[in-house]
Amino acid sequence: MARTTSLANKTVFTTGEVARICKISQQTVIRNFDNGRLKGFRVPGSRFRRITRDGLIGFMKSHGIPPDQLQSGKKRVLVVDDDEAIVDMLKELLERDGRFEIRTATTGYEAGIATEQFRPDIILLDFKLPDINGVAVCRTIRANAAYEHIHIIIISGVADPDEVKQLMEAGANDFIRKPFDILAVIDRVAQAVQVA
Amino acid sequence: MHGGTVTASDAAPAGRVAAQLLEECAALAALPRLARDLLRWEPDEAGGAEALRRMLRTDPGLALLEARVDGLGPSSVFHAAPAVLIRDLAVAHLVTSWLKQQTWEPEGGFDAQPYLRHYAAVACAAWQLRLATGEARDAAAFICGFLHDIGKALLAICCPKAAKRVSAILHYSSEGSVTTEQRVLGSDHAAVGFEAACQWGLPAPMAEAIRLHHQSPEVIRALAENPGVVLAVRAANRLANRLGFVSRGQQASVGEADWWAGLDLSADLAAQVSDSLPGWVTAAEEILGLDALAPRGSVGVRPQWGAANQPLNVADWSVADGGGSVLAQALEAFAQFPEGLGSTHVALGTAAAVLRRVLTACETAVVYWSHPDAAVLLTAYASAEAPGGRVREVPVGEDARARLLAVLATRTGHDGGGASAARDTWRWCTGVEPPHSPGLFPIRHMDRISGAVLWVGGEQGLSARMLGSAAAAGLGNLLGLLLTGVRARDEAGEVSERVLAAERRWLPAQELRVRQQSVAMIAEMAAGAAHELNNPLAVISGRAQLLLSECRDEKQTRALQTIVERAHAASQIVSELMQFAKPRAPQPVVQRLGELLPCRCQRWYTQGGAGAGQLTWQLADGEATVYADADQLQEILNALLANALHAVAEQSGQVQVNSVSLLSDDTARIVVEDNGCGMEAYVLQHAVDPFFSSRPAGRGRGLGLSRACRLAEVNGGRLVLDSAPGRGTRVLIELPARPS
Repeated sequence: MARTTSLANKTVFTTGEVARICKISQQTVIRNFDNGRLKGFRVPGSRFRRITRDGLIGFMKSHGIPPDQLQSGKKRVLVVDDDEAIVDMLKELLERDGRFEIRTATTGYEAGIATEQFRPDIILLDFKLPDINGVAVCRTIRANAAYEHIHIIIISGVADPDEVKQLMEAGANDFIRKPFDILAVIDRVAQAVQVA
Repeated sequence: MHGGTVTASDAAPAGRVAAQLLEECAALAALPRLARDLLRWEPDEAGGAEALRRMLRTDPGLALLEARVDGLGPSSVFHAAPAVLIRDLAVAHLVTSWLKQQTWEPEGGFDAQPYLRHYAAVACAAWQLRLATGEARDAAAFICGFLHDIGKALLAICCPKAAKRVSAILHYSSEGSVTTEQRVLGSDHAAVGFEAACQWGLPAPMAEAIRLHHQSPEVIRALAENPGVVLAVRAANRLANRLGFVSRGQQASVGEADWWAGLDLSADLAAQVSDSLPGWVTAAEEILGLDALAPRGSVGVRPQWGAANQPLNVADWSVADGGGSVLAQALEAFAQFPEGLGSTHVALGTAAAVLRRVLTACETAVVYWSHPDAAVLLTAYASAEAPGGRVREVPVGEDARARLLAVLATRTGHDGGGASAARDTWRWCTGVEPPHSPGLFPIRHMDRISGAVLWVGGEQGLSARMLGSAAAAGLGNLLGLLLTGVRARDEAGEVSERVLAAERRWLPAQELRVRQQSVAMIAEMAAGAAHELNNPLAVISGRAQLLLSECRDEKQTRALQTIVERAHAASQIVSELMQFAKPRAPQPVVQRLGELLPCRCQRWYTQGGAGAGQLTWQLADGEATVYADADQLQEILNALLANALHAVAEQSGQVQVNSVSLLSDDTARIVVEDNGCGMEAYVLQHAVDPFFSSRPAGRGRGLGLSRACRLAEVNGGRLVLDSAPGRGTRVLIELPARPS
């Protein structure tokens, strides 16, 4: 389990690891790497092949390989809010549900780094952040094709319909107004990442 | 005091200014000792005439006067004057010299000339009146008349600024000088003069004439030791004023037919004295040496406003027939007193009238302003006189304003009328050539330029040349006065009807702007509050829900449920406030009132909101339409119906919904009327303010009507409320009938 989890969180894989995840031989991995079907790079100063996470995911998708080995089994949720009380509460709420793995961030900058490293399936994003606002975070994430699959749900106290409209246009998928019904939040998150 | 019954303590209570005044009067050089000695001289003393002559010869000026009187031919009115008149003339001469010594020019100083001319005229008239009644010998009518207004001169000497203010006000008002002085100074010239007379030890008749000459004959008879002289002085004063022998700042009396009524004068006597007075005054002026001071006829008498000696009536001024110069004179007066006039309602009334006159004399007036209300006011005043408005408002950006201020700042003094600069400014401000020579002048107030007016006189209108730079400066001051004065009306007490009328036209625009500003402020506040409040509310509600999910205790469960509910309710208030201030942009559609109203009203029955027969509706024209957002109109109607039904609930009253507009009307009008409890004036005034509710706490948040009002506004309409306690409430909804 520990090994699987570590695999799930890795961003770069060896050919052996890819063979294990995809349940194919290492030779097949090498052949696909060499003919360009599996995206990656060689370690500088050596001929060791390394496969990026994006490349692996793309390869698995195009060959219909089930991604369960790459996942912890839980959906990754990134909670971004400048109010730590909100962050703590949402974390507790989602952890108690048991279907989600949670990371948190309290600024737009942290949210960017966490998105890169943690590869969330879903981001619960506050609109007003101390450094950059939610609209900018949405746009930045949507500008990167690799993050296309990330589902963004804005959770915010804004009351101005214009601001909500702006957020949806910037690429958010859903909007939940604060204060919220906790069951509704769980339902919307689960629905978004299709966890039964 | 010298044998009189009137004492200083009887005088009107002196205010702070007056007390200071009297101190200064006391510090003045006293009236020459000789004058006092002369006044104590009694004409019937044995060998009196000789003694008088001896006294006169002790002063070189008086010796000259004696020679002049002696040399008068039989044609002169002063020929073979009795000794008492010679004495009076001598004293008048001494007083004249004394007053001339107090003259200090140039500007701002005291000029004795206008006062002396008035004094001489009243003295002559009083003497004549006493002559006609055969009582000239027993009392010094001439000198009583001469000294009657000495208080005015003293005021002008001791506090020239306040005196100028008073005289400027009197110039334009029909108010009595005593009233104005009391208001401005806290005392009046009669009281001040009387104090001085007591200090100088003047005989009783003079002190009485000084103190009582503005009182009614009844008062004079009751108070004066020698009422005959005082009454003569009173009548003489009126006569002199009527004939234009007025002292500075005073206006000629109204020329009504029975002006002598109440003067104890027969019409014949009045006419007789009036006819001979100018001759007497000329003679007296010659003897007293007044003619040497300034060209005769130009002193003391103010400019003729249209018909001779008519009181100022700006409404009668005509610019085309040369009234422009009269206007300019009036404006020059305002240039002299930029601040002093600001506190009086009289000046404000006149200011408004003068301003309107000027604006309508101009064919085009382009207004630049840095004062936010200037344009609104100017337009209000101008449109009152010339419907359609000749005042064009040109909004100025920061750059243009800076440039305009730079142009104005390069002018020296008040002159803003330089032709070439004005033409240039006109060109870059409007982008076209000016039709005639334009005028440009600053709107000044409190020594700051708060705006500017650019204008072009019409062919027959007021040209820049006619107006002159001083007058232009006066106009600037006037505008400044008006702008601050209108709002300082509480301070000023009352405001003239004209100003009020203009203000009434101006206020709705002002109110609307204030309302728009406050709505924008509420929106901003609500947006900020929404974020700040909703975060903690989300934590409160969320934590309570988390606890709730694990709670097995019934009591605790209920408590937690309450927390959750109330947190959401609090958030809801913020949202409603936001919706009030910034409603969703309407998506208007044309709806037939014949379908809409019955449907909406019926729903109140089906949902149990209205008792049987409580709500009725009527349509003047079922085909009439309304053009508004369907949901928002529904919300407006629901809010009004909820209020109306609530108002009649306890009294089982009636609510009527009437559509009163026709298909052909451009405006749809729906009236929601109830015969319920009605609203107090205070409630009515605040009825559309958000969160104002007359219901008991917890029975409503007070947002219904304010939101309805706001929704009507964003849909291009409005709500008009009419209500009185016991009479019920009537709300008129006005909305566009169709797209414009």
